[in-house]
Amino acid sequence: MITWTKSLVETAEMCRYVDDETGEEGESPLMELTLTPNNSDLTIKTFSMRKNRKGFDDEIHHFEWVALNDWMTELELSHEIYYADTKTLTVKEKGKIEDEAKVEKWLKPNGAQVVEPKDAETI
Amino acid sequence: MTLPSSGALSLNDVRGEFGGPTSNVTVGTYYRNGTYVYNVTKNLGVPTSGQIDFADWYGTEGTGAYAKGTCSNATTGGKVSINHRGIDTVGLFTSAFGSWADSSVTVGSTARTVRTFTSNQTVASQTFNVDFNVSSSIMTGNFFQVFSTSALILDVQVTGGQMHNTTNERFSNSPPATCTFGPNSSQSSGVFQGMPSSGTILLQCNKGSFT
Repeated sequence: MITWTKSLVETAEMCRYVDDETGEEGESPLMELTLTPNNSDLTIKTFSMRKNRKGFDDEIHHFEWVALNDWMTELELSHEIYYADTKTLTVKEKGKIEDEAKVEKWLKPNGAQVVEPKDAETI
Repeated sequence: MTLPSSGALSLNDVRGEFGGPTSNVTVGTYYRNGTYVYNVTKNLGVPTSGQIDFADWYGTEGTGAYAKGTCSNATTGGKVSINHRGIDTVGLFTSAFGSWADSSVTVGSTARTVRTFTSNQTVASQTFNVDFNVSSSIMTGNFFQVFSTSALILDVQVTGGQMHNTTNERFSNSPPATCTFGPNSSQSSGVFQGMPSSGTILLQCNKGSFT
């Protein structure tokens, strides 16, 4: 499992922008994101962006996903076998069935006796 | 949101809009077609290499206004297999493939979450399959533009979108679900390329015209 600590810091640097909807110009602080992996063999990732930029939270989430992919490469995990899950930001095995109910059904097709037994004569 | 179209721009203004590293940032970090400045219409004034002027970034925009994702592809089984390309997180016809980093996009006047945007590449009448998790047709009349990191790859107005099943709406290059391609898209010459099978895409809606 790859885990990391996320630090998002507001800097003193200000950035100009124009709001598309109002046409008004504004200023917003530059934010700095630092992702520090708990495994010291992996590299620290940094990213910066204006605080109120449209899609800010999505961009931060996306950067974490990109970093996770980079760390997988650094750990020499095969991208043919494993992938970085976009929603959970975890490394998963391709094609692996993780739902316990599905696994149970797969191993024992009628394990929960959903289909009632019938004797041979009835069939 | 965009960068201002006049006055002095700093490298921090540019970095704030496009995002970027926290150190070792240079003007060369923000060439068009690079990691941060995509080749969308508003950014065409930014050079891809060589000399660059801060005024080149006037009016440019980062990816915040677009849905953004990574394409892949999958093929159905059976005698007549069909290869679907783009992003399908629903698994409409195959297992889910591709992923959205930012799935928010406004269609008409309503904020939507795009789940699927694919085209098939096998049958003669090629079709786009789209899923906004809405059970009624919402695409007709709307313009859609899809950009790779380096080019416009789809410029289309949906003229007759049709629901295919629960939340899956379709448009195609032939009836009954219809669309019109823009003059600058690769489809206008009759060469129908559709969605890519890999790489990053940006999806824009509501531009109100062809690019």
